[in-house]
Amino acid sequence: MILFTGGGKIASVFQKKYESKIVSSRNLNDDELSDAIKNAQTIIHNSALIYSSNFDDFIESNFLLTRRVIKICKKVNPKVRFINLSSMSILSGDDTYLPVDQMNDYAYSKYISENYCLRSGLENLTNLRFSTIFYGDSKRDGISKLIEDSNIHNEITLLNKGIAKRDIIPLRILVEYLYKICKSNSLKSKYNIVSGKETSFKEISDILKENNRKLKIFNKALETQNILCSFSKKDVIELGEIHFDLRKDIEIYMNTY
Amino acid sequence: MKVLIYSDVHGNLPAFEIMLEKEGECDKYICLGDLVNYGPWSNACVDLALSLPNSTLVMGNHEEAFISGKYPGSNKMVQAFFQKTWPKFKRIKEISLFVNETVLDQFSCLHTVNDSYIYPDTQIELAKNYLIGHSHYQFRYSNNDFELFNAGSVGQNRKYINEINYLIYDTETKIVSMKSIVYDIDPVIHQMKKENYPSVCLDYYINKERR
Repeated sequence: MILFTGGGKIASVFQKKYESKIVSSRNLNDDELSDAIKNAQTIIHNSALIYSSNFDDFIESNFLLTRRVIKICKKVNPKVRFINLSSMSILSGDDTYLPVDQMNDYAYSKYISENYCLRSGLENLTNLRFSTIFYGDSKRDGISKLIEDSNIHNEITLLNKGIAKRDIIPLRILVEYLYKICKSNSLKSKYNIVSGKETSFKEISDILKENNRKLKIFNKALETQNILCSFSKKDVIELGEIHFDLRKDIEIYMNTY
Repeated sequence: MKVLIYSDVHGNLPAFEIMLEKEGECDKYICLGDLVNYGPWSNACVDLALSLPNSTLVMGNHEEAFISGKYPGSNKMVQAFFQKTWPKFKRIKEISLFVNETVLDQFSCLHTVNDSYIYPDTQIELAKNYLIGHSHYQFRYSNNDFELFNAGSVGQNRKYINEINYLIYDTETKIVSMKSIVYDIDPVIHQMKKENYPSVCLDYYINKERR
């Protein structure tokens, strides 16, 4: 059985395709969580807090919860395959961590969680970092929001003429990689799940313009933070690369309106 | 009479409090130096040490550095810690009164011998009995019919970062017991991150081996 430790879009999309169970680990007491964990073959630890202005909230929801789940695994199911959903925000390169004093509170909480996982002694454990996910949900990512604005309002606003780039991976592809890792016989301690291709917001707006002749594109100059978007594909090649065409995924999402 | 001998708290108030809670009431307390630097609570550690009954506080090299306003060593990491902790330190007058050495029965109690880092494999000719700290490693060493006990570190154990070491001396039996407590170091690291310690400092605590 594949067990997710929290709800959310990744878990729900995964569950539609593959047999799995979702629990809310933060709402279960230790006995209840132990019961859920002891029967799992694979645990996907996805429970996490992404937005907060409070450092302690990140520590509580990301680090302390991870530590609690790991401790219970070690006690009731030490052979379990444990997949910790980590974050690209902790990296400055493919396999180089950002200096800790440059990490924001979220990244720090994910970094110490990954660090804890690596030192936990669980034999079948891996940390997965995903590049920017195209969820197809305007509340969750900027690409989907652009598409929604184009479809509903016929206008979008790009920051700095859309020069910022991302390595983008559609959620459906990410779920396939996640399933591959669930079925893999041997796990590396870390995987970077990426497309290996940099796409600018300008390129996305060009796709939108081609599909919506009425689209007006506005520009806003704003100082923005650089997001790491240049990654090696070595991990996805090892897993067996899943090819996709981002343009098609964008067009499919556009047509859902 | 129960005597608690501890050293190298290094601004780690949670570890200091855990040790005191674990041992309960003692008749006498001897700190072998280095209450300050590294951790975020140097002021509070000095206050707590001074508040203990029958407390003798020995001067360590980090108190000397805080008094002079300059860390003399070349270690860049220690310099980074010093730059972070010293500007916030407000207890110069209090630590200036720490003593260089004190005596407990047959033992000379001081921060270290000959200004050196004494490790378990250090060859040293003992001419008397010692209780020391400084190297952050707890051990017992003997030769020439004398004994040296290193109390280890309360706040920055250099073997296992999440272990507290100290000594208990029983004046009736004359026995020195080496004590150890494993504790949760993570809240200390989180506080350092909150206080914007530089990476070189955070990495030291994050990546050090744990029990």
